[in-house]
Amino acid sequence: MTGCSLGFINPLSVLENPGTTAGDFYARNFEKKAQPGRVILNLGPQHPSTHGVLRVLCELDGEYVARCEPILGYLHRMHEKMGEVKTPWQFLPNLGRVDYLHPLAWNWAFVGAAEKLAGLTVPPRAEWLRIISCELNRISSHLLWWGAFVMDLGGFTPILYAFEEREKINDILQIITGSRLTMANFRFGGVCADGDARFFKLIQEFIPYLRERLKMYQGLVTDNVILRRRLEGVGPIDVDLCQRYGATGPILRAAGLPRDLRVDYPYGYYDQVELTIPTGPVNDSFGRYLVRLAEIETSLSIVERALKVIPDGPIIMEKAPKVSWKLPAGESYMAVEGARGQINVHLVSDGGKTPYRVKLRAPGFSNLSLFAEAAKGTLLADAIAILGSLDLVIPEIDR
Amino acid sequence: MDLSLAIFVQIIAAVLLIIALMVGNAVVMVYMERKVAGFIQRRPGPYEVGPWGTIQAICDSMKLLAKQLYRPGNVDLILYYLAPVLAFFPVLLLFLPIPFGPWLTALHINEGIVLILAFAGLGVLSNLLAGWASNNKFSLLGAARAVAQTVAYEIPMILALLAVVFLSGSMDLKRITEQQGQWPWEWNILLQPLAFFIYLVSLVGETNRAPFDLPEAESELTAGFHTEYSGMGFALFFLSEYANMLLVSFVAAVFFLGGYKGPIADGFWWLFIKAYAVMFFMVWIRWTFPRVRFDQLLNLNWKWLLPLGLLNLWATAIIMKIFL
Amino acid sequence: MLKAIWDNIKGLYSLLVGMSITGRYLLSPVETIHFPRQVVDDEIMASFRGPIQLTLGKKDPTQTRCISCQMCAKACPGHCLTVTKGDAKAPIQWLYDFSYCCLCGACVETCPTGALEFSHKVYLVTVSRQELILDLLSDLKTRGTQLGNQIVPPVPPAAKEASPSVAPASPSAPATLAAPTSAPPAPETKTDPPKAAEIKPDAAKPAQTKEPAPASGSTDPVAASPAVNSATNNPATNNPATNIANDVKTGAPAQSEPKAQTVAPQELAPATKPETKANPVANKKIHDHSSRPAKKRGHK
Repeated sequence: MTGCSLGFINPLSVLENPGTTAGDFYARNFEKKAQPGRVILNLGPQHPSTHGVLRVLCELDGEYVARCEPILGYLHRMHEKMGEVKTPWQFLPNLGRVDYLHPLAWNWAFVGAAEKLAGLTVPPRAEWLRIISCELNRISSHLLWWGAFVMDLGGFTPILYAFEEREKINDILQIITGSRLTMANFRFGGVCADGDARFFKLIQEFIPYLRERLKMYQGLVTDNVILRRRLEGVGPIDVDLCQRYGATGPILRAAGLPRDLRVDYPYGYYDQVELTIPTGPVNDSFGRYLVRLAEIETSLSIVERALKVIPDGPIIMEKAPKVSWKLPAGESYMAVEGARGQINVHLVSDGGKTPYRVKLRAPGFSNLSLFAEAAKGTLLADAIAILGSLDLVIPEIDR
Repeated sequence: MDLSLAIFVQIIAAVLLIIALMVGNAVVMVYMERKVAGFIQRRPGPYEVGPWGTIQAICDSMKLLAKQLYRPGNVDLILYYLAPVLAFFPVLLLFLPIPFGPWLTALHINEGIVLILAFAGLGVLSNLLAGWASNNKFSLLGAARAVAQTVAYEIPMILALLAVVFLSGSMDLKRITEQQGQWPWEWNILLQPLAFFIYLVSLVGETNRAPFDLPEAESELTAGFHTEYSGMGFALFFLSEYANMLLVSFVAAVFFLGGYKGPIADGFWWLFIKAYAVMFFMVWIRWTFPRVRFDQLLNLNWKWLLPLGLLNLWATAIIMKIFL
Repeated sequence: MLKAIWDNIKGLYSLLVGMSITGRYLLSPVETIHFPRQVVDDEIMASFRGPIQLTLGKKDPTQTRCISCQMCAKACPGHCLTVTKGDAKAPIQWLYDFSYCCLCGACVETCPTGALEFSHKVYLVTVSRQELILDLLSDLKTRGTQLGNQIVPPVPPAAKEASPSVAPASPSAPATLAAPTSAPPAPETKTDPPKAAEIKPDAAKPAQTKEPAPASGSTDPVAASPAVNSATNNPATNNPATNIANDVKTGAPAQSEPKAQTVAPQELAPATKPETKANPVANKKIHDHSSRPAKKRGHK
């Protein structure tokens, strides 16, 4: 794919002859509907503020975005194909790489789908450990989103503060998963490692520490007048727009619809956890910002509750599937609530060593689809702010 | 004849010293910026090269000198190479009227501030040339933003400085310094706090520093008007940006903070201390605040700073007429 | 109008609050660790899943528990393990291509004898892709010799002397991990700080392999190679693992290392050697990445 990465198109020629300039297939197609006097800009695949390798073709009327089109595929790594040639166990590390910011949710989706298919039950301690680790991972994903978002807007410091907290979460999760980024401790029938005394002690210390730090974030960033003026009123996404594109997650919740899979269709032991879904008062970028910060607090309270009620016991079921386990024939479908929205895995197996089809539905794909409509007519800086507030992770979009 | 020769020699010597000052300032500022940024972000900043990383800036400039001068095709050759030079040289002129010490003014003219304000506008020309000549839409956008911003923020700057000129009755920088006292409560900042505030904000806007750094908005426009420059061209832009910062900090120190006058002994050291305090403030706010959107930036200027500046001027005039 | 003014004043106040926060951090100590002068606590790194290593043997810590069943090689999603079976069940070569490993743990969990485990090598540094093909048997030898006295119940002196002692000094311990190449990467010495403190200069010599001064460290491999190579011509000796491990470790002057690597196992696997059905994986060309430069991984 020969994308032109920084818009190296002679401006004059675009003005005079739309449709005949250099550029690849996408740019030429895009230019056909361009009106004269407008500039076609390629927020190219290499860009500091498209999170990952995303290309957005924009038609600019001065500073206003008249039309824009995101182009994907630069990071397609064929995970679903790998699902078809690898055994279920061998596919487990793949899920960590699909979305490396919330890998445990993707793990849960796939492992849950396999467990549904094979009718495996997970022991209680494992269920609670799953909840604890998944929620901690969600917190770290939101922290990174927060830092990267403010960095897009020009404040280079908060991301480093967010990474301090992430380091602590990574220390905690390293104890049970062994990794700091692409975590994979879910196994068919439970989890693979138990938390020791140090694990629980670190979590107990972490919860009040993060609450203190969230106050600091409030003072430094959330109350900051510059940030507010950048985000308030920018990119309103209402429920109708979300539903037309299938967007889920904090975007939908900020739009006003309280949909959360952990409450509507609880999986694991989420039905034993009281959850208040934060919905935004406003559906603009600032509302999405506030919803995600509120979700951090929600996750903290879930972890607190889990720590209180976690029982002792085995962490994996009796006669757990071994590495060479084959899925029984059939199909199953598992949906979990990821940090970005609803993660679905549709697993079809014909009884052989490898699944017949593993369909991974990434929330970012639907969330990105509404960007073209949401960013129409906004300033370029606002389009960047909307893109950041959607919390996109391109690797999961391209899979 | 002798006098004019003496003045000529004085100006030449001053220009050479100013070049040395600009280069030295860039080195110091790069180090200060990176260290302050590091400490704000809970990390040490440069500290491998030299004791506590002090030679880092010199190594960086050597690297920039040694870099390949890469020029993209289809650029306008003359303008492309002219732009960094045009960014660098006019700033030399601006340092001439500044009184570094009681007897250390390079060019003692009666309308010092007019000279400074007039030639400060040349800097924006170089931004525009760089943006246009780069044959790059991002650069063009950055240059257009830079022009609008710089032209806009000159006006509140002028109004704020004009208020101090009203107070001192002359545009000569030395006179303004002499009319302030040694101690902080005798400085102009107490007499014109609003003007100082307006000047600080327009200072940041004029030099394209965060939170007003849209022309080089890194996360939107990937370095804006100097995207296509590497090596020495980039170094010259950088140098001129820091020199501009130093210049406006000097002007702030002279107009509002007492210039070279200080508690114990008058001298150029006080001027430098005050100017670097202002620069430290600019570095501090760069790493604290996100970027202001472009229309908000212009709104701030035309709807808030300009009326406030006029109001301040009007109030100053009335108070002076009534009480003085 | 008045509301706008009041909003702006509140905004200014928020800016000052923000500046005070960053100003506070400006004056507080840094949070980072200055690697390599400081390293992260071992307590934190103890749970890290690093490149896999062979577990120490129960009776003899330098012998692996592996029985060359190839279950790990089959389970690995990245096909990075190559286990070559010897005459007995024990493997004679155990190669692990870390550049393909995703640290999933399938091999560790599927091993029936518990012969594999995750190491905690956080600071593994290599300078070439070749160095990423780790030879786990020589690494096991090194670790076993260093820790043997700590972990294993006291072994009678005779048996201990009979056990092959590579006994390199600790700087060359990393050399075995960056297996076939000559230069051990220096940061590797940080990998097992508490363990590396034990340097047991075992004076014992193995039964038949000559150990021409391996204890002096990494530059010796070149000198050692002719002598050791001669000892490898009869693979059916007491300690095939030792021979081959030494050979692979020592037979690697930098230029000829791919050759040395292929030479060694082939020498050990003459025509009479098992190209049997028992280990089809070792003899099968596992995958063909034609775009990569041809790396000889020691299998046919």
